[in-house]
This record gives sequence, C-alpha cells and structure tokens, in this order.
Amino acid sequence: MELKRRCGRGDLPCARPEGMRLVEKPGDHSIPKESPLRRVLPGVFIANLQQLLNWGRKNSLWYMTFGIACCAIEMMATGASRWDLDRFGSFFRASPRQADFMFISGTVNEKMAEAVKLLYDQMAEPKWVLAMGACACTGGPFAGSYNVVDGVDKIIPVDVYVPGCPPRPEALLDGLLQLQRLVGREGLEFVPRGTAAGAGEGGGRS
Amino acid sequence: MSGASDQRSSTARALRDHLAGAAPFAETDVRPDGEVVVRVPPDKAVAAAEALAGFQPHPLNYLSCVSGVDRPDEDQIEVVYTVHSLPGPAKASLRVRVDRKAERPSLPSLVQVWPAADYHEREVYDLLGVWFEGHPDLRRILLAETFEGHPLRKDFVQNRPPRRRVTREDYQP
Repeated sequence: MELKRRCGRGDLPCARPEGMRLVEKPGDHSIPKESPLRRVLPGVFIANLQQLLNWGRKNSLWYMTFGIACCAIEMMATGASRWDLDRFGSFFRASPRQADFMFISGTVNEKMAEAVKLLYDQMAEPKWVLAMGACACTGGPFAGSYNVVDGVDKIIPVDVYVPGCPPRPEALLDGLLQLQRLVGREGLEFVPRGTAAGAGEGGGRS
Repeated sequence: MSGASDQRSSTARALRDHLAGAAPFAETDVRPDGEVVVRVPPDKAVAAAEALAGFQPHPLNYLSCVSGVDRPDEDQIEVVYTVHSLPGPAKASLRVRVDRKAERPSLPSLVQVWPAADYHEREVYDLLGVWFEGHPDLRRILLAETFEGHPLRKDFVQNRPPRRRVTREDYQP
C-alpha cells in the first residue's frame, strides 16, 4: 500500500515512507579508506585502473573445489557457515576454468602431483596458490618419504604458505587475507610470484 | 557371552574337522578367539581356499582383508587372507608363504575363489612385490606405474636406488 503512493515526478511508485525526504549530507559520500575510489566532485569518482581491477579481484577470489587430504576437512569447515569464507567473497568453484586460486589442502604424493599440476595449468591467469598445512608447505611428517612431494612448491608456484597440522580455520582465514593483500598490490609494485607472502601487517614482499 | 563363545569354539572345531577332510595338506590351528589359522604351501592355496569357501553351514565367503607380512629373518613373505562367514560366526585366516629372495616371488591368485582379493592382491604386489599368478589385472594400485621397487619391504630403505627428488623442472611444459 505504501508502494502504491505516488511521489516525485511522473507516475513512478515510491517505497519511501511518507514524510521522509532525500537529503544529501556531505558525510554520506565518505568512502572507506582502503577503497581505490577517490571522490573529486559530488557523484564523481576517479580511480587508478589497476587499483580498481585489483580491488575487484581480491574481493572475489574464487577457489577450486579440490581437497587432497585431511586438511581439506578443515578447508570445508572454513568455507561453511561457522567461519564462512563467503563473507570475503571467496567460495568454491567446481571447475579450474572458473577458479582464481586453489588451496593445496594436504599431502601431495608423487602420483597426485601430476593431477595438481594439470589442474593448475587449467586455471586461467591470473591465478594464485595457497599451500595449506605442513605437508603442502614442506612435506611435513612425510618429508623424505618414498612417495611424497616435499612441498607443493616443487611442482607449482606457491603464493601463501599456511603452516599447521592442520591449520585452524582462523589461520586459513588469515592466509586468505594475506592473499588478498598480495592481489591488491599486483601490478602496482614489484611482487615476485611464487614466493611466500610474509606474515603480519604489510607482508614481507615490499 | 559364554553362549556366543561356545558357539565360536564349536564352529572353529567343526571347521577344523571339515578342513581335515577337504584339505588334509593344511596345517591348522585354532586361536582362542575362534579363528582357524590355516597354513598351506603355495601350490595348495587355491584348494585350501575352495575348502574354506565350501564349509557348511557357514561358508567362508567374505574376504575382509589380505595382508602381506615381510619376514626378513626367515627370508619369507607371508600373505594372510582373513576370511569371515556372512551367515555365521566362522572365521579363518589362510596363510601362504613365499621366498622373498626369489627374483619374482609368486603365489597363485585367489581372485577366482574370492573376487574381493583383486584390489588387495594388487596392493600386496605394489608394496611388497609378490606376483599373483592368474590375477586378472596385476598392476600397481597405490604408487605410480613408474615407481621402482616395493617400499614396504624391510630392506627397501637400504636397497632403494638414490631417490630422485621431484623438482619444479620436472613439471615444466
């Protein structure tokens, strides 16, 4: 019934409650500090194109539905409602063609290494890799074993390492935030690919 | 409890008597939990397995596990088929030994008696290097086809070739 009331110009319906007026306040246009947008005039924003691209990319990092070992259980928990990777714009994509990055969630043995490499090659650029857990970082308890790749960085470039056996979902979320920080700097400064992001504020790359 | 225990031991005795007729070459032993241990030479393994599978009224028709045991101090590899009976309480383990020093240690495959032995025998072949003659598809099951050696042999670590580390160069296009 409220919607039926006419207001403004023409005959467009208006959902605004009676008595409320649109008021532009100067403070309404304030934008978050981390946003690449800068307001120059009311309703006019400018941005560095690379920053704008990075901003979009880092807030929609879709990861591949690919779990290798027990760390995958923790990854699924992180993606589910309790920790909810979705609120960072990340969620599972079931195809490497649609994925931006992949969690290496578990022990990579030499038979699995070919599949991991194949899936990595099928992902479209730009793409990132997050090594999750001790096994994916270094081989973990199986390092030196007869059938285990000692760290997935032997076969594909890794951007973020998250240690732990398995890492807590909070640690994985921190890894994702590190990756977002990395993606946000892409093309703006020298970011060597395939090396670990440093821990802590600011990262270890700059 | 004692009723079930009595039934297990009476079943074990019946199975032992059955084997004395159907597989007289087998060396049998009854363990306290009612499991009948059957030791046979390799060439009699199929006959012993058929005798176990033909036990009435509790045919041992459920192969639950095949284990390989490396015994370097006796220069033998023992393959243990653990079988249960779905209709009843009977259980047995069929144990066959093969010389581990042989170039190609081989045992008859029991896939024709228990089809479930297929993957299990491939695993024993993969990890311990026992060739199962008559197996329909004897390939490695866990390790890559290019893997050299059989890693669960006790002397694998001493005898394995120098390990070639996987490097990033291996996966460059």
